[in-house]
Amino acid sequence: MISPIISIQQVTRRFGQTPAVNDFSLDIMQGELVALLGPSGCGKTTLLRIIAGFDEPTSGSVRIEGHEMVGIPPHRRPVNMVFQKYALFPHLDVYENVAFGLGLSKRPAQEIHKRVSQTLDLVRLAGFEKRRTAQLSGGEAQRVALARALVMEPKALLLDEPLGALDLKVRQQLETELRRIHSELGTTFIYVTHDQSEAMTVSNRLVIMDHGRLIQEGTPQEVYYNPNCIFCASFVGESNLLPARVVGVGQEATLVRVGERTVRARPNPQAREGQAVSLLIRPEVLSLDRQAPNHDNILQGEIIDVTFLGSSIVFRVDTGWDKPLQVQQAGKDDPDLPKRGEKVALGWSSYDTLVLLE
Amino acid sequence: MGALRRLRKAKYLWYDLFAAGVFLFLFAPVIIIVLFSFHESPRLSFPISGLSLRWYGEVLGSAVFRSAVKNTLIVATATSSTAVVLGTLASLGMTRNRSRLARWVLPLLMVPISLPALFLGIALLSYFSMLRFQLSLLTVTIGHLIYTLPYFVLVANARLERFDMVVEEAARDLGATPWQVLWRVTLPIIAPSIIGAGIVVFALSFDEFLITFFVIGSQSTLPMLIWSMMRRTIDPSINAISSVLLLMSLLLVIITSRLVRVTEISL
Repeated sequence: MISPIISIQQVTRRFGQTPAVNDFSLDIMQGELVALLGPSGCGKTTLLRIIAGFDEPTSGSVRIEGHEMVGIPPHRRPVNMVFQKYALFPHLDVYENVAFGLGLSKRPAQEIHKRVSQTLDLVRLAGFEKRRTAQLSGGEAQRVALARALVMEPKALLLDEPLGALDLKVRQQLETELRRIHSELGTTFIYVTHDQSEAMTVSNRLVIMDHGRLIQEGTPQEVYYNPNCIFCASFVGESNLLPARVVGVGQEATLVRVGERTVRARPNPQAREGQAVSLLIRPEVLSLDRQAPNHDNILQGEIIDVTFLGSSIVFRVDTGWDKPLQVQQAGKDDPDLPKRGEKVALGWSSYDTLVLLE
Repeated sequence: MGALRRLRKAKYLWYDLFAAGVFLFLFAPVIIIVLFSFHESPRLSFPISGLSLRWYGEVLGSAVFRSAVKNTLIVATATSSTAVVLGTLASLGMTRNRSRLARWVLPLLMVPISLPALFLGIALLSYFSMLRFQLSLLTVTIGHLIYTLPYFVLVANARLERFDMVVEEAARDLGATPWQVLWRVTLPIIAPSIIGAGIVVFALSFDEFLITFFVIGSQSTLPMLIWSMMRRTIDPSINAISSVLLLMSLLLVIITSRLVRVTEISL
């Protein structure tokens, strides 16, 4: 078995009485691109700062390639960080910013020059060497920060909401760039964000955090299609979440009661009859039609709202349940689309219907 | 329309005249001194009967003047360089340490500028004589330091309060020891403000009179020299000395304003 490059074991960090990170354990393998995802205040940044050495855990251990890091100051840890607000050195130009760390380690000038140039090429900033940091756009500044960290050849690159201060277009561009750089270098990336779409785009492993705890981890697909709790289901992607009660447990389906209706859901071996549960139906698995569609769950309703989003259209449909259902369809230029106030039928398969126990 | 504009114009003319009057009031004495420093005759009244550099020649040829300039420069340099070191350390400490004790440091440091300089001078004189400390340029420097340090700290604090500490974390992250962070990141970034504050201290010390008067002993500085000359007669060379002082202060102001602009850009 391959040993992890970073191993976090039972880390707890308390500020006063409240734990910011609570009994958190995670192994990260060489070359992974892990996203720590959670709402603000969930402890993800604290955890990253503990790995970097800017904060120390109240208890627990952080190992990098098997070496214990707790108690070792940040300047002696083999990891480097990219900060949300770039944190470039304002008194140095782009080249000097990137060369800063190598200069401290007293490398020969030739080697420094070669590595800085290569890294500036990698982040596509060749030719920016003599620019002052004040002359850079947000996206360029963050590329410099990225180069400054990567040039040190860290065991892991730590990114603290690196795209948080940028506007949408630049953010999307840099998301793609980060993935390209990651696959070119094969360096382990640990990426902290509160933006679920960013986390899903960038990472190949999602770690969901809430109240300092690890809630769920897995590939973006696993977390999206098999969330293990209501929090994960609502935090990652759009969702229809409905309070329900288990009325039948079978091999082919779990039967649940929502309002006055019985719904067929994917079999859940842990569900017990009579148990109060939540039902998860993603908006895009619902099909909406004027006639009753051919599905194992069918429901009549009335459209109360239509939102055109370009690539998709979102309908809100009142079905007599407590909350209207959100239905997402691929957007197309069709004058015959159902309109507000129209009666429609919703259909979806039992496989796409999840029973969440908590 | 036209009438209204004319009315407005008249109103603004009135404002302009008022502003010009204020400036005239402020600068007239300065202009008169500079003017008479070039006056050929020792008479200090109009009309001007001829221009010459006579008084400048006399001043520059005087050994008393040259020694006073030397002493003034020694004291101002010693005061400002000591203030830069002590004040920067104090300011770094104050803006980083958020303990309850640290909150008392700034108000205590500000005490000397809230006291009358006269009081400070007398207090220092009795303090030095209590300690049997020989009065010299050293005691003048100590006196100036006590009086100027608050100004230095105020300027330095203003810069350090808006210093982005994340930059220091970035340096630590890239392998810099705390000592390297200070020398390679923190100090270079705040240097323009620190130097600017140092020049303010230099200027304050340069023409300080009240404290100097009490703690200087037998030597002399430029303000002391002017005062002692005034006491005897109105010697026209005072105008020349004052003009030299004015020129030096102006140079300092120009240098400082340049540096302050630089700080704003490197923000």
